[in-house]
Amino acid sequence: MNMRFASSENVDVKKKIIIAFIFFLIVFFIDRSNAKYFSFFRAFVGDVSIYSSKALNYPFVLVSSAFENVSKRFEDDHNVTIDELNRLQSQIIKLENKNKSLETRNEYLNSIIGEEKYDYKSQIAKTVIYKNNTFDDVFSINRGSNDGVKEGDPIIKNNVLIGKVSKVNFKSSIAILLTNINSRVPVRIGTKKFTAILIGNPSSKNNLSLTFLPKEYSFKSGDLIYTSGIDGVLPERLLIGEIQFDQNKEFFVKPYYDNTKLDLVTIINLRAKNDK
Amino acid sequence: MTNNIKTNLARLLLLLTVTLSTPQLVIFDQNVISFINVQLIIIFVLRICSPSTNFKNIWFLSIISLVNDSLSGLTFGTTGILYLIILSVASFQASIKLRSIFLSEWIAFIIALVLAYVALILIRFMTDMSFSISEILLNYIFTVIVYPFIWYPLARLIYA
Repeated sequence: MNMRFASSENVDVKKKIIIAFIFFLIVFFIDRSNAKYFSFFRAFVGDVSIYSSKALNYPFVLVSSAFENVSKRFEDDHNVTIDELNRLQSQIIKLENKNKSLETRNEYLNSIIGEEKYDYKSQIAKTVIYKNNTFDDVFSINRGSNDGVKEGDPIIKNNVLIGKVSKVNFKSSIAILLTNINSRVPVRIGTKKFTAILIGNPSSKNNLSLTFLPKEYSFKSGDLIYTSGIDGVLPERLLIGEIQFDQNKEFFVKPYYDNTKLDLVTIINLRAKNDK
Repeated sequence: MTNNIKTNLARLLLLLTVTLSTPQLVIFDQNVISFINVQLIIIFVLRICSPSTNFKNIWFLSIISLVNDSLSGLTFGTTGILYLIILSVASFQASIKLRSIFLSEWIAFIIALVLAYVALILIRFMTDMSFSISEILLNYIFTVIVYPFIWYPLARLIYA
């Protein structure tokens, strides 16, 4: 018989584990019930966690960007600065996507009579932390309920939909990417406007797949995918990506955003319209 | 290494894995890092290597689990329950072992991980969150495979 098993130290740890387990179960059920008083606590803990993590991340970000800058300096000897180059690259992507978005919008407007229905207000947010694991594909941003952010608000980057806000704190929020397994976005595809639901699917190429497609669907390479807005939550015509075909001639979704470049994003405020 | 340093090192390691952004290591269009549950390995290894110092006080694990829930947008308590399952098995294994045998510890970790993932699936059911069994299985396999690679340096560090 092992004497350590019955030692007071082990009994003490056992007790602590049981108490902690009961505590977590209680916390879990309270949070699950969406109790109003608990949401305040949740938002507070969320803000503290996100901003503390930001501080902890800072030295690592500094070191990695320093490495990046040094390696880039060795790679090229152009006259333009690295920052300027990055800005121009970002602008090119933005303009390309804007062009695609405008083409889609133009096609849509040609098919109906009337003016554009709405134009929402937006705000820029900075990505604080990006968490990517099997269970969650999420990132936190430095805008919260104090800035007018609400759950479900779409997030875009370079005019392309990348995800939506899932949890809101006071000064920060958690957003899920389209590739998150819990993401569901009603979309239209191509000039024939086939409707479908774009879901985050870790088993698919680019972690995205289309479901609820009509039986008669047929795609061609380059068909644009954009929001349909039929859920009444997301606005229409937000560009997402395009259809492409692999070597087996199976189609897959190619998103227009890059997971590794989510430093700055734009949150669309669905409740406030732009004054023009 | 003194007990105080061991305790703080364990805490620091866990804190960094929770708060830092996930690094990208893309192989075959997939971020391989996303398939490895480093936090659970760290808790298990550090606890089993030095049960008298590491995570003896549950308060640190409790706080860090709430931080992880906040950063991942999970229902509060989710990570805490997983951590406690891993910690319980590691504490039990540490209490019955006479000396460190890697294989028996690895098997104990495999069992602990099964229990943790069953709990996770139940939690996902209860919170109406989607999950993919194949992805969980893949995560399980990768985490089990990576265990020795994290165990070796950590065990050497703790036993030093």
